Amino acid sequence: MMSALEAPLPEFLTVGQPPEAKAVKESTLHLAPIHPALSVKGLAVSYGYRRVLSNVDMDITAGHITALIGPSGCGKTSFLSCLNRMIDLVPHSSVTGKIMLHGVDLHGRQVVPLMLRRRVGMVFQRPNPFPLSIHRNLEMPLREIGVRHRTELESRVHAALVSVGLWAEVKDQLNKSALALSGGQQQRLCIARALVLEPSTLLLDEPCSALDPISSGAVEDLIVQLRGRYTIVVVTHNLAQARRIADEVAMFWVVEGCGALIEFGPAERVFKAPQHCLTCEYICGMRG
Amino acid sequence: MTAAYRLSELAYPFAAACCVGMLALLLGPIFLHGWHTVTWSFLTEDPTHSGRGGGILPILVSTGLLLCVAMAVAVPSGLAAAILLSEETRKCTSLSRTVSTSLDVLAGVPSIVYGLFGNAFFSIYLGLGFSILSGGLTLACMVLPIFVRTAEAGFIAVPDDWRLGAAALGLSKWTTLVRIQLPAAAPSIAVGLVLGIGRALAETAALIFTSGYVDRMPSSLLDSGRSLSVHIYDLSMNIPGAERSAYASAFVLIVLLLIINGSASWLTERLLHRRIVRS
Repeated sequence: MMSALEAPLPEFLTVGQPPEAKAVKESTLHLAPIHPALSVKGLAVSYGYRRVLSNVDMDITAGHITALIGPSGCGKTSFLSCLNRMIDLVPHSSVTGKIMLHGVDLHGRQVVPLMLRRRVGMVFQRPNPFPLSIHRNLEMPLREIGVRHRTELESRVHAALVSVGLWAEVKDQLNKSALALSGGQQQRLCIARALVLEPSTLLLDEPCSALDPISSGAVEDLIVQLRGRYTIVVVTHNLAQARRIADEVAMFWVVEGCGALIEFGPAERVFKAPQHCLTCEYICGMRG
Repeated sequence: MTAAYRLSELAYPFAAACCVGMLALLLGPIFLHGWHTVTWSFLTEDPTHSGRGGGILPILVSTGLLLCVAMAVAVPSGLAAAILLSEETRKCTSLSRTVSTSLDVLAGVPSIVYGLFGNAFFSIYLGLGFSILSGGLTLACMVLPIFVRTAEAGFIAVPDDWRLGAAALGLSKWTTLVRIQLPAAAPSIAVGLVLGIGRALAETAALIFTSGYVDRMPSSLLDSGRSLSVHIYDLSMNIPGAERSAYASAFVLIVLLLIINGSASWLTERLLHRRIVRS
């Protein structure tokens, strides 16, 4: 008997994509070199005795936006946390398999998690600026990596704020509390705070889900603008957003009580012609 | 409107008035009888005739030294314990449960028991005798549980989002602690300090066993010294005709408590909490 995972795809589910989203993507994609920035092989994650993710293989292309989609509890955030070893902070977590970044196994002994996190930045679901001034929020990570020169500090803070489109909005209130900003501004400040360290990769864990539609739109536009300059991995529950911004899509699902990657490929192919029936049902809203 | 509601409407102001009234009853006589005895010479002279006359200078100095010893030991070790405990409490380990329960029990131990412990351990076993050092260390033991539990609550209340954000930026644990957690927990640390200082200044029983009650000027930390509260106890219970001095000393103690608590809060705010910019 054929299992649900192997069932053939119904043709009516291969839905099209809005033309404008495709146009935006093609105009910027030429910046991205086509080679894997992160290569994941046989990744499995357990919390205590409970396995939450098993056997994930994925090549994340440099400069591309990779969206991780799937229902809650299927291991997307656990997967994302493995990429900068934030998972180390979860008590009783264990990771097996390999994640290669520029030929180095991230979970190898020679990798210092603090150093790794400066190269692979992360932004969380809820904006979490520190209760300091806007300027201090950006200056502190720089001071931590040894940047002391006033001019360099100022120029890097300025560049980070410009790159997230916040400079014009906050240039006169850099000494005001970051907590006084709106939700969308706070989230863009958090992205700027990650970018100020000039990472190669940016991990975004549902960066728009705690924001109102306008702020969410601003953050989404920003993510699209960062394409090509950073390798971006974004977890999202918003399928329309994944379709608009992603170059590649990874579909996670709970298989026999454990999270698994069931489909991975170019966003256009995954949304137009998904190979897996669960992906098909999920993106059409029939499952999940 | 029910009768119970109307009754409660009357009961609330009455209960509030009772609280304020108790405070007035307590402080009123002290201020009435005490303030005109407190003169510059009262603060700067040695006591005479067992405290019936003269001033309280050696007592003030002894009190200050006792407080300094107690706080110099309790604050750094208490802060370190609070930080460790808050980290452990987040992980729900058995260590945190055991230490928290022990601290709660210690906070409720009567001061006379601390006094006996201080006498047996610091004065006799460590050979410090009846000295300001023994008294200060005993006070530190008394202050620690309150200070640790209050500061720990402050550290636990620091949102996890900030800690995660700091970790994701590759900030070291030290930077996260000094730049984010300590300033954010500053109000609780200040409350812990104020409660601790209050308990140390008010202590009588434990000090009688450890720092003694010699009312001369202490020449070192190993000298015996009499704290203000012990002085008040002695004047009011053992020395007939010293009521005026007792009232005046109580007045000085209360003013001292207000000044020290005020400056502890101000210092914590200035040194730590001001780094935090709230909206």
